[in-house]
Amino acid sequence: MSKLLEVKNLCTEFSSKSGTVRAVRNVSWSIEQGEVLGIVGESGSGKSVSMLSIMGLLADNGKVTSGEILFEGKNLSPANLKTKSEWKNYDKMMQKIRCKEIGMIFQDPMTYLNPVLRIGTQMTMPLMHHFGMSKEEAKKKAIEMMAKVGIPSPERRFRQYPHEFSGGMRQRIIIAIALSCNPKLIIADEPTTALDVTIQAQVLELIKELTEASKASVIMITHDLGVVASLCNKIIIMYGGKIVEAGNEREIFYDPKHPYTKGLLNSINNPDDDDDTKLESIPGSPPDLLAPPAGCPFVDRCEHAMYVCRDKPPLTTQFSESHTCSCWLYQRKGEVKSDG
Amino acid sequence: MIKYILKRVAIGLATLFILTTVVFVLMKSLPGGPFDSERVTDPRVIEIMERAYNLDKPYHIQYLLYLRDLLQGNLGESFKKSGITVNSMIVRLTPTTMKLGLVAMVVSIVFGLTLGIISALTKKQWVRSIIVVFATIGVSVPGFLLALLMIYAFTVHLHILPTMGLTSWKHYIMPSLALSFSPVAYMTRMTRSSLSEVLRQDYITMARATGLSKLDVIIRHALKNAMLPIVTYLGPLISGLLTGSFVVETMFAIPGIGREFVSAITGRDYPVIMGLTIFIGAFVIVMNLVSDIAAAVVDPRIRLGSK
Repeated sequence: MSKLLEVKNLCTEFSSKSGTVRAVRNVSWSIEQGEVLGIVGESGSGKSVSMLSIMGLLADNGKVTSGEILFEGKNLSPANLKTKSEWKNYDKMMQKIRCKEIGMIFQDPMTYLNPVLRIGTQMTMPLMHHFGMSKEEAKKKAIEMMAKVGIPSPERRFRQYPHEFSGGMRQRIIIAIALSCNPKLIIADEPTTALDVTIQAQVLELIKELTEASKASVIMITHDLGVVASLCNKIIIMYGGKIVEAGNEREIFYDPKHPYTKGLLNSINNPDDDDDTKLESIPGSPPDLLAPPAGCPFVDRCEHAMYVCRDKPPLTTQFSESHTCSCWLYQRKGEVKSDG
Repeated sequence: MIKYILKRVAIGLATLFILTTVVFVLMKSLPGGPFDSERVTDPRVIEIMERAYNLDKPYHIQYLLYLRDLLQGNLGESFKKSGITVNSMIVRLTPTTMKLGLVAMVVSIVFGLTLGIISALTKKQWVRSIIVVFATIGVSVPGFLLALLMIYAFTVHLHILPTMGLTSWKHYIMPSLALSFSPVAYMTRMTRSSLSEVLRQDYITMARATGLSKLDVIIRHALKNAMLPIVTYLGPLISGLLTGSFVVETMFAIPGIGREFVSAITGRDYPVIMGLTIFIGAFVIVMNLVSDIAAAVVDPRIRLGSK
């Protein structure tokens, strides 16, 4: 299988009044055709920012400072752009890639649809933009997509406004828009976070079904390991803007290496436990990315922390072809791979 | 929607009734009467005149008589200009005030929107600063001061613009600028804050993620949302231009409703004061209703709330 998207040494920073926030620090990963990649981490771990960096949709104060983003061999990274015309070309290139090559499903269905435009208008716009469809053709395709994502009586719904839809239905519309141009890659940024628990499973099932049918690869961003477990072939755990552990589903769930991953797994609510069992949590709070610790980002919350953890970034240890972990605990046990 | 409009019309009529009553009471409590300054001082002549205009009757009878005429659409006859009805006065004066108001409104909307959009979109700090300074001055400097400064500069010194009347396009320049100065500033501030707020919304990110260009996103996704507060401001804007015309028409000797109103007050010309107040009041109410309906057309969520 060939690599569809490869991210190499990506760094993204935000300038703010109190200084530079280093949201993503030297992150590398890749996804192959048809693969489902899960990126897990808590708020502020840099997972959403990495995705917005790929799409070129960072807020005005955000900037990709270095790294490569190779999509089918084409570099999408704006890190080395300098002149105005280079930026213009980048913008043009991204306008062709967004939605048509890489579709994005957003987090909050209540705020990601434009409240004053009809659902139909919002659905047909990308179709007319990318394929030069006429209004009629786009309408036909949009209604077909609405039926596909399970919206009853799509002809009538086509003319309605977002406030006439429930949260779950809106998320279905967002999924329909993201998939309408047949992208090769879908980025789903916490697609179920804002939904009722009963709807969550339905929406995940829908994403799985539709992407399997269109053979698209999926990057599933979440802070919920449960979501990842049912869907992903490959899992990346991010913390403090860095990847702390990566592996396939079996390796992460049955043989976690990094203390943070272990903490995450312990804090999953297990229905088989007695009612008296207290739900575990990881003490402390995520690092301040204005001044990230020189060593391991997890050092302040880690119960195994050593002196070296505070001063030097941990090296990456390779446990199997797919399983890697950045932690000083394993430095001697596995084969050491250099980490910049 | 129709139910909503009917309800608003009913509220408007009630407002007009209260307005009529309040103005009647206020007018009667003003010291002095319409014939105080006439040269005829014979009390019998005044008595006859007062009787002719029903001014000798008790206030509540006068009020009821006025309401009876009003319901028939008759606003009465001027005390000062005999034989001229208030109705005919409105018909004669309205076009002038309207023409000036319309020019000022177009100026306000065009310049206010343009400056607001520019300052919301530009990345150049100095452009934004200039517009902010202008908008602050515009909101704080009253129109009549600007009118005086303009007259001083363009008429007294440069002799390029006329000050009296409204007979050529040149006559429109100073009055309409004086009228629209603060609305332009207000509109600029409102457009800027509204548009930059909208551009931070999630659905703008989503629209960009579908591959639309920045310009397309602004035109097709952002402007309609940003227009919402501006559309609701149009009603008050029109009322503001009308009331602003009191001062500006008097300063530039423009024969419109505002100037007539001011001279009617100084002359205690009761029917003219009453008639013009009711006319302007009705106009303001209608304009507010129109701008609320326009807002409902722009924002589908309002339609739902009004049912």
